[in-house]
Amino acid sequence: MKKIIALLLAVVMVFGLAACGGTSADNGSGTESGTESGTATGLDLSVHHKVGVATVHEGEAWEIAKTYLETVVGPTFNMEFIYSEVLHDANGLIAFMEQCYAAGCDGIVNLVTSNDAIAQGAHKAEEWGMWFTTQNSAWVEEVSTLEHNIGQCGASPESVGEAYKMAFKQILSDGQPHSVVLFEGAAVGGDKGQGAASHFYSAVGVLEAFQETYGLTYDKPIADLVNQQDPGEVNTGNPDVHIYLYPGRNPGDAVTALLPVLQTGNYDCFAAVFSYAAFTNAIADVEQSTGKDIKVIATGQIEQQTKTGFESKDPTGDTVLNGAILNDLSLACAINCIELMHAYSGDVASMKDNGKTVLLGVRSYPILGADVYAKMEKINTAPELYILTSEDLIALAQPGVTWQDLEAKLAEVADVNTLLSSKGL
Amino acid sequence: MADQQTILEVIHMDKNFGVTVALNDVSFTLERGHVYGLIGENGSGKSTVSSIIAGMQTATKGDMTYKGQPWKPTSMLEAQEHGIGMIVQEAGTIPNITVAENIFLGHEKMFKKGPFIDRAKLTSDAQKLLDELGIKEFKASDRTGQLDMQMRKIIEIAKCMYWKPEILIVDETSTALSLEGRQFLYKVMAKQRDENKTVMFISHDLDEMMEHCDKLTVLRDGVIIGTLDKSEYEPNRIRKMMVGRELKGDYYRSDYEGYSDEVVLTAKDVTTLNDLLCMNLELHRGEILGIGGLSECGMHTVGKALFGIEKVLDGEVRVKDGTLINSPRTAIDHRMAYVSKNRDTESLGLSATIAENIASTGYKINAFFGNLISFKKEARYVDKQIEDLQIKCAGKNYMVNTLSGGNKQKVVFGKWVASDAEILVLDCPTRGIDVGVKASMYKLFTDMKRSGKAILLISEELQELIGMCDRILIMKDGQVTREVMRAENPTESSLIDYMI
Amino acid sequence: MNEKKKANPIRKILESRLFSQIMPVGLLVILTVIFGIATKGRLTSAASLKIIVEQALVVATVSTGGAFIFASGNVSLSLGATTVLTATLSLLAYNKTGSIAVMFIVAIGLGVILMTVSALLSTALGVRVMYVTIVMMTLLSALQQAILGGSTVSLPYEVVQKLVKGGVMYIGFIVFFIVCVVLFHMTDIGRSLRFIGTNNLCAEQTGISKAKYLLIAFIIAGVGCGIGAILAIIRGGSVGTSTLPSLNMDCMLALVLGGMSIFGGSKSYVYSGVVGALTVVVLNQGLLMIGVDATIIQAIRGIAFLTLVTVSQVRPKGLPAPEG
Repeated sequence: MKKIIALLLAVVMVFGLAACGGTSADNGSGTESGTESGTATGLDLSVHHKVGVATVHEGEAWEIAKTYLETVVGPTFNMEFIYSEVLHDANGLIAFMEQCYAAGCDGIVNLVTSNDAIAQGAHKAEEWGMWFTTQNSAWVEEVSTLEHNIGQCGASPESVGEAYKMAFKQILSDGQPHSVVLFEGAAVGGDKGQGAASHFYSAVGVLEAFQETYGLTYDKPIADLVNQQDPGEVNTGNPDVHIYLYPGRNPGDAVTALLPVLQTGNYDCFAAVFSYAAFTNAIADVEQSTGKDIKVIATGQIEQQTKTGFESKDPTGDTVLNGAILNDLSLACAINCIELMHAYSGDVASMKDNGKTVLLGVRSYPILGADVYAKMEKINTAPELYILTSEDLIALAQPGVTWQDLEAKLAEVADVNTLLSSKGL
Repeated sequence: MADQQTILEVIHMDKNFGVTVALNDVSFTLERGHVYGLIGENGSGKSTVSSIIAGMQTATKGDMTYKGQPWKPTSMLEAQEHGIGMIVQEAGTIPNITVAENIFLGHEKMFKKGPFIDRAKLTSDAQKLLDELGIKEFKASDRTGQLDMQMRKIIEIAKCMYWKPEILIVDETSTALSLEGRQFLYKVMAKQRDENKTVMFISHDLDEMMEHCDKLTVLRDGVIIGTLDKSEYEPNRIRKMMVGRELKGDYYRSDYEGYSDEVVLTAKDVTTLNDLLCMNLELHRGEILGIGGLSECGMHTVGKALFGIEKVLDGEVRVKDGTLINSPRTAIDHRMAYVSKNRDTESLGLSATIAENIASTGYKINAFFGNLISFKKEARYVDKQIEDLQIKCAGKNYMVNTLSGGNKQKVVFGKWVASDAEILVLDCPTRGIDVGVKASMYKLFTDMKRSGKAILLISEELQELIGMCDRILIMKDGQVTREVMRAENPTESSLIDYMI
Repeated sequence: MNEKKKANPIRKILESRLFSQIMPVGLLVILTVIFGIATKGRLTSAASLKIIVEQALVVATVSTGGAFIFASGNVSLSLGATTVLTATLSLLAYNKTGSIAVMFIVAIGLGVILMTVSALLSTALGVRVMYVTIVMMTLLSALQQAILGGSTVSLPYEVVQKLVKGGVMYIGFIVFFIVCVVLFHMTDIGRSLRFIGTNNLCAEQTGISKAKYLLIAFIIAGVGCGIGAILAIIRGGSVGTSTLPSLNMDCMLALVLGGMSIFGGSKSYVYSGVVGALTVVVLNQGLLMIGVDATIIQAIRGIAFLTLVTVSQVRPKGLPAPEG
């Protein structure tokens, strides 16, 4: 009997929840992608659009981006979003796109970042006449000429590298000799499409910052140094400056391998091309035993983990995290939706460069110190504080606005100080 | 006063399992100082009624009074605390713990000393109980796993007696016990009666029931057929009450027809890893060959070795055409059949349907095009057996575990009869089966023999061997030590002599 | 003793064969109808139904083959890894030769070989199928990782289109399914496997060789993996290390949702995988269409599955524990 009751409850739950969702979803359904590209019809915000968002993300930063989509982008553009579960591959993406298609979506924002998922997804979208836009740092040429594939945006690897370089230049600017252990992640081959391009350029950025600050004479070109398979010390030509490179995808292994290197006390900086979380305890142990502070610079997002890093103290009294290279998911999502609006207005051409998709660079923000982070954190907390506000969105979605204009806007909001002052922070 | 003597009354009790009626308007009274017997065929409802009294399940309708109060136990524990204890048919002891721990299983709290259990007191209390009951074969501190099944059954009896039950229910316990074990049980029951308490005894063994019960109540299909006083006991009358038709006292075969000279199965110097050592036998067409012996003599392994289940290390088993039997498949291909002593675990797929079980021997027979099975042929294959063997079931698509023991065994026979086996190796085929089905089985054996089939009957029941077999082989230490012909008219005691 | 078995009417219904056969199909129909109404017919439109079927095809195919193994009371955990590795290698074979025929032959051949190895390891070493397949699962995944590294292999889009237009997915599935239905329900193979699943000691004593039929089951499952691999290639266009990560679990889930007992045996049906796979997709798609959030869909799915598994796995009390 209990089992029957359980079954009934489950059924009631399933349909109960379904009914809740039903009311919001049913108004204005049945939208067709009525506009054809080529003939611009102007920005018409009265037409409701359903957009499928295929995500590879989860967690706090993603929730912030979702809130932005729900509270700002959606109402502004009269868009309704359907979100996927966390997807990893082409199969998942395509299954989700099929469901979106059946549910009446006419646009897809794709955050699944594997090249062939993007390629397969774009083909599928083309087949069905759904508009398709992607976040990825590498441009996928294979599908760049498909009519319904309207664009890509993402943190360009070079810009991430640039952010690392800027962060380190600032840290090294005190006139003292500094040394670094650099966890390169999947940097090896990143410039040749094998590893991760952003990891590659991040490592290059760090090495360049050291070279330019101290006038180092590496015995190999920087790209070759980064592409070395084996971990080891780099010949810097300066006895006071040590650089140790560790390539590898597994943070756990890296911690084990790097702990003895850090224990030598020769290094006072640690950089990771992604999250620092796995290294927190190891670095604290080293600081405890050597009594020397180690500065930590890593990739982060606006979320609790980064905040904690900036606000908590390490054993030497310094903050645990000294610099974060911040990526903002919300901004990239906004750009994707602007591209979709151009497509809905029949203005695909201005989003493309001679009929080919363009990779728009969303910059990473180098954040140094808790005070800057405290301000940066306020971005994305209120409608007027988002990097792109409702007004910005409408302005950028006007027919006639080109991809060059979007690129210019991205450059404009790329500088931390300018951005913060423009928001009155 | 009679009323003060009454300890338990069952009034108009019904029990249904879905559409099956297990008890139908059952009423009876138990008085102090008596041993009551409850007898009936498998599925007659005797275990149901006793388990309701002992709190294992509840009745669908009807009332009970116990010591003058309404009695509605919700668990065996409640019944136990109020003085109704039951030794169950199929309960078990846990092998990895001591005898004492088994005796107090679930009641360890009584020995709590702070957060710990006072093991010393637990063991000494258990030992005291064993001493009281006069059990000397094992000690309370012994590990249960080292004891044989008999001794474990005795632990269960002791466990029940600890609570000094006013009504002791003994459900089919004696079947698992040896002679000494039974004597012990009878002693416990007699003591119970002498102390002006009550015993309710359930068994298949008519002789045992007649000897030890003051009154016998016969159940059939959930209805009380009648209650007899000791003076009215008469075996044929009781059997008739049980099965509802006239049963001749002797349901074994009475002929001396003999058998053909043609040898259909030969075992030569068969030796297995554990039990058999140079075992030899020849089975003839139209013969029922019995194998008997003490329980350790290896006779159960004979069946397995002949059928290719047990690996034959030395020696060989061959059928008439000279084929070596080394796997069940070759055995079946040469029209052999095997019924295991462990019916539920080896001879049946309990959760499969009756049809699936019977059809399991006929995949090849019922194929019509390559390996494609003809549903029609298969249905006929199954239906014929259900009809011929009169398997009592609600339908062939019901699971076998809904059947009573006797009918289960009929299903086992059904699958082999259907396959038209010529050589049947039967290991204790009538074990745990009531008289009615037993009689029909014996008739089936006789018919098979007459139609030229060969039957090897391995049995622990001497009466059965004497009554049914053309020849009896007595085994000891993995070898055949003695051959007894039907014409010799052996007696039970002569066979026992040969065994020892 | 059986007559003591507690059997109330509802339990009786749950235990009945007809219920276990009809319930899953009924549930699928009910879900489809309810979501059809809730989405104002959008879920039941031809295009949407086609999508539902196509989404279910890979799981349906692999689990239909897998049903043969599960029927025998054995749990195979390597179906997913076998399918994915097979897909990888057959795609590589296509890229080497440019021949679709070669890709098909490699896929089915490899599926069969890999599963046969599992079966032989299990019978030769006398190790339970589950343990062997855990090892195989890890081994095959590692092999795929070693072959691909972090990269993926893909089939050119034109080829994918050609195969889709040619109806290869449907033909592949339907032919395999029909063959499986015949083998499972109309020959000694299915009956023997079910009987082994019910009681393998009894099966052995009835002349049904466990080793032989298990090998046959694995070969059929291998063909299923091969065809499933082809379907996965056509659907995804590419294969990488993150392709179909939960395929094996999805197949087991589909079988159970489709009314098959996880203990195998008598209540085993070859179509369970298909019904179950469709049910999962309909539930997903329906909830998504009426606007339920993805995370809530996951939660609902979890609850619904747990409930269904509990209900559909009602086993009569007092049965011996299944072997293997």
